[in-house]
Amino acid sequence: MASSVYKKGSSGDVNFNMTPMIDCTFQLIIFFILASQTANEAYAKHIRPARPHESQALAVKDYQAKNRIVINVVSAGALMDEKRGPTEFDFARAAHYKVGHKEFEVGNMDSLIELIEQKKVEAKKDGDYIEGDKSNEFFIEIRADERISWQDVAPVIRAGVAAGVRKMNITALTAQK
Amino acid sequence: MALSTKKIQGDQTIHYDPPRKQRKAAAEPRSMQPPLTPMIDVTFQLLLFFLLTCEFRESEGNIPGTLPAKGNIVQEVQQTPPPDPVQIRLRLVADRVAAYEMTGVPVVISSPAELLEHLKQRQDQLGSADVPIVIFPSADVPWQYVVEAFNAAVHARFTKIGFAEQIL
Repeated sequence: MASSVYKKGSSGDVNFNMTPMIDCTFQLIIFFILASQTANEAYAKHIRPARPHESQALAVKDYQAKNRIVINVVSAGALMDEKRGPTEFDFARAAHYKVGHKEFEVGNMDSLIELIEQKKVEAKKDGDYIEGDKSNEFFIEIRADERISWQDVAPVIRAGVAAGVRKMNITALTAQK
Repeated sequence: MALSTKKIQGDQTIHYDPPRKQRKAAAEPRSMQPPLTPMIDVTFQLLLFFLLTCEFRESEGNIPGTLPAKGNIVQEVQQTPPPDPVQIRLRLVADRVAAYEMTGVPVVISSPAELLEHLKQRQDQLGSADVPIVIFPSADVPWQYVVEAFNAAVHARFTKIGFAEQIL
């Protein structure tokens, strides 16, 4: 009778085989590390970039590049509470322009021009770009919500021109493979 | 009857191991196993962190372009008109829906795919990438359509692409 309870060689402890669980957990962690994108303060949230037909957008190689200024054009509708039901009109107008943590009113172009000029001077001083070197030129990156009207995006281009910037990149979603 | 008591670490009580257990312990080779509990704890913490903070975004990229020299854009276009530029005018045809009108194309172009085809044809006819493309969006056209026009011009291998504002 006793032999059926105490099996020979068994201490009576129950051990779980943890190896498959640890394997799966590590696989999941590796997946999340690779799939998630690192947070970048230059890229504002709540922006829906355009997805053009047969997109020619080139994947950004260096998200930390300092020879550029990313100007986010944030839609007013995207910032509104969904329960309030933002209308097409709300999505069509820009709430503000955002550069890093700084927000600029749509009408306040002088401050934006000043900031672009300041960034350009800083980048030049730090050696992040060389004047006249076309391969390493200072540029503005326009990251606008696709729903915003042209009249609210055009001032950003005008500000870039006024600040003496000669290169402009437009953010769009890359082509689906 | 000998009582076997539960072992508690640091406990000062005298423990009794039954002879069966003593014989077994003597016979079995001792196996070394590092404590896995802290590692599993940390691993789960990491997993939880990534699950909560992970944000999936679609892959973004840049369509490269240039800007005119410092000065008034409108003046620059008017004072030094480029030779026979191809103009693409954008205007709303329905609620938040825009269409394209292109120099030399008698019909209204309704889709970006069509616009791309027309631009490719024009590129083949001209045989030069230096012909300027000027995009004229009306004020209320969504940015999406402007990007489509710009993207189509880049795709058709035009190199001089500019924006202009319609003066009413």
